[in-house]
Amino acid sequence: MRLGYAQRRRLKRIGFWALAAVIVIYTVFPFYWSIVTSMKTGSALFSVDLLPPDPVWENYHLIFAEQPFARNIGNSVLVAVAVVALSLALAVTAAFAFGRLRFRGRVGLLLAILAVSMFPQVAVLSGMFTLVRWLGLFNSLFALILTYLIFTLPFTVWVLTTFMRELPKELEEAAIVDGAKPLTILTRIYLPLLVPALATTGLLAFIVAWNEFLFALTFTLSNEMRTVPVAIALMTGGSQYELPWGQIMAASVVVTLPLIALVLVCQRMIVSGLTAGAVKG
Amino acid sequence: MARIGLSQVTKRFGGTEAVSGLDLDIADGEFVVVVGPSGCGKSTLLRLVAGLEDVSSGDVRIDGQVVNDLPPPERGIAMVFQSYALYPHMTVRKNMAFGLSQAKLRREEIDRRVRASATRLRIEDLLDRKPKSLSGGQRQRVAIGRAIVREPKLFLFDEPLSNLDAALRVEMRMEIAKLRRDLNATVLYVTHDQTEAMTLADRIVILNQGRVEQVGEPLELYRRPRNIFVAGFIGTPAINLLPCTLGSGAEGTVIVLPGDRTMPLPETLRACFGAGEVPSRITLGWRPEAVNLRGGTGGRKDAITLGVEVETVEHLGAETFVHARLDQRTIVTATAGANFQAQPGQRVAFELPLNRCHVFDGEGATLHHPSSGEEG
Repeated sequence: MRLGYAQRRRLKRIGFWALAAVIVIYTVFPFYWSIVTSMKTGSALFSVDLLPPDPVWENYHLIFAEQPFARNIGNSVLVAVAVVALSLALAVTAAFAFGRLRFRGRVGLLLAILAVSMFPQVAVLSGMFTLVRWLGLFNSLFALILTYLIFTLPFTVWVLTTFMRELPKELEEAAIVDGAKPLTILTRIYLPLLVPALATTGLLAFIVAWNEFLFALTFTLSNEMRTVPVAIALMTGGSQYELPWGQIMAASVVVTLPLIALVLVCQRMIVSGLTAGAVKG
Repeated sequence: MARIGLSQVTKRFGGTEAVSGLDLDIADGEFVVVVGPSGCGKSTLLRLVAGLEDVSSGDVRIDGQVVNDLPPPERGIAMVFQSYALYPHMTVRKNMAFGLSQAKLRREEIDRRVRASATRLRIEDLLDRKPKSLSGGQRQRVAIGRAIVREPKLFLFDEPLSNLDAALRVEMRMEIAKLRRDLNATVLYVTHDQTEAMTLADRIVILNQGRVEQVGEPLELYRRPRNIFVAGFIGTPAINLLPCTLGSGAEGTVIVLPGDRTMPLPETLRACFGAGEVPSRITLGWRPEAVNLRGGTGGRKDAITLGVEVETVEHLGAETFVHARLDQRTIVTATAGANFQAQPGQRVAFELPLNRCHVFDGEGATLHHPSSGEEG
């Protein structure tokens, strides 16, 4: 049977939406499952329900009562915010140099920065541990802030350099003729134009710092210094042989919410076309 | 207002010289247009005066003071960029005020100047808009406004009209001419458009490969070009250039025109060489308006008459350009009256009066140009 044009179009549309539905379910289902699980206790945890039969908030209460989870969240916020602030500040100034100035070894240096991120985390772990001990930062949040820059700086520098290079050179020259000093040019002319890039890279850096596990596990010791991923992983139940799945899921839901909020806020800043009108394009 | 002096200014980028040993003096309040083909170094020249590039050697003087080591803001200049370079995140008002606030002027003074400039350029209504919501012509005005609020000694324009469409370009050209009269400022203006140069300039500087070919008033360059390059660059349609060779024949010196047409060297041309040796190669040039169209052949004694084949006829309304082929390589253009009609392929005769002929030697330097009374 040959299908008419309208029928083929309808089939194509059905196919498209079916594919979209599969992708949405695939990505959202795990999160949905943790929400459902976080509202169950006891043996209900091991039954398969799409909706919790009788939802309870006990797990959400317990994670804050039985361990310093609020403190862990605070640690994570502190570390992530500090990492974002530091890497953006360093990356913007580095990108200004890489994108705007010509100097010997520019490409080599850029590649070196990228190379830093190529080593597997485990490979740098022991060396980094020695460094952290030597600096006296063991079991301190500063150790995490410092070491997370290894992950965040390469991509923040690279992305911002690319953006910086695409800003029209005439803008800088116009500002120079207007009497602006380099720092003024960076802060008053370039920074406002880089907001979308800053929002994107800042968000990525935040997520990296928020979710990092291995360094956080290695460089902290006490419950009070742990960040959220480690705290969740090391949660223990009533006995050694019991994993408190309900609480783990509740904790996961709690720490994902700030990320979602952050993405929604940043999304409004990630708008294109900020440079429209600068030069005739 | 300011006097500008460039002496032996050279700028090298790596191995190439963008500007070589350039001398130029600009008087107070003068409007000088630098014109030349792309890559001739004209934008570099402007950037050297602005201070956006450093000279490799030589001196740039403003009001007699050497400014080689002064940064741009201390040179008392304002620059209008080809791409406008407006700050996209700032309103028109902030764009215009930015330079003044960097100079730490008082707020009331900044306000006063921005408003005065906006009124002058008729952009008062746009002050709170951002560049992206402006049209090309409006952006151009804002860019000029940003320059005039600073009340500079010297205005630098870098091809300011090249991004505008034709109609707007003519309008802005007149506006710049008017603005310049009002401000009475010294202006250095770079363009590749010789019409802009002819219409705006007090004096034109013709630049080619980093060197000055000729400096002079627009009509002087048109009537008395110093060499083939200047003759060919100024004027639309371009001057007709006929490369010729000179040799000796039975009746004395003969001239061989393109298409291997040989004729005795007319006495008028003989006079150009003076008492000196007759060169072996010369180039003859006629402006299109000097070429007369004739129906028949056989012509006047004081003119060279060429039989040509019409290629294209361009009716512009008031006048007509006739492009005709002399031989494989040579096209000759004539200006004809509004009603001239001819079909492509038709044979016509072009009469080239000797008294309106430019003569160039083998190296391209001018040997003779028509006296200005006859040209024009």
